[in-house]
Amino acid sequence: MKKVVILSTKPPYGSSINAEAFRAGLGLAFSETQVDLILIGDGVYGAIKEQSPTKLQMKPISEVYNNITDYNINLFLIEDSIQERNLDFEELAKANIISYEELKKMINNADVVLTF
Amino acid sequence: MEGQKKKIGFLITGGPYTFEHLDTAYHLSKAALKKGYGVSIFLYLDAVVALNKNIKSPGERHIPSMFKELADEGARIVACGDCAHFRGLTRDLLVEGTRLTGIATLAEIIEECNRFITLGMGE
Repeated sequence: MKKVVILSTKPPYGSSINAEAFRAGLGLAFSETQVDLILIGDGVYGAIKEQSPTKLQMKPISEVYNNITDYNINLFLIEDSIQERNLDFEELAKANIISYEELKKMINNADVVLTF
Repeated sequence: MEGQKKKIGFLITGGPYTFEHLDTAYHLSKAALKKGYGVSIFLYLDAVVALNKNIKSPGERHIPSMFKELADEGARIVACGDCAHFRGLTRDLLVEGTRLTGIATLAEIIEECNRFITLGMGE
């Protein structure tokens, strides 16, 4: 089983990239690949629990991140990215919070890194 | 993988003519094929439209033909079927030697490749 790290760098609205990073992870997890999905930079905005993008005719991505364990995907958030954006840990989906140092180790240990 | 030929894989997300990701993948694939590597390319998101044979590019490189050329040389060229569906790209429009598939194929490519490169909008 290969280990794939997915770096999700884009905010959840304005483009489909954040959702597509998840969709790629979902497909890979279904296909017996170990998937670590990392929200980094503006990607961490996707983890905000309460979102109501219906006026944008989009579905809230938070539904996905709030229930990420159902999809067999390990979710990680970068601590610095959260702090730089003044987000509270309490307002974010339950996930592993990691430092850049830990991220470096994960990337080193991964077979493949996909960047979105 | 001893005794087997080495394989390189690509995931491309950027659309043709707007970005150069497809061109980069083409040139890297040509070089890899020349060195005897196996090449697999998975087109995702806007990159899938690059396989539309009806693309007209007067005076410019014709990207669908470039991917047909790679397929003719033995590269596996596949595109995400859902992404194609959302962009009106039907099977009959695909350039020869390429096909629509699912993300399970991406997993398969990742599993079998020695090196795998993402080229796209996350950069």
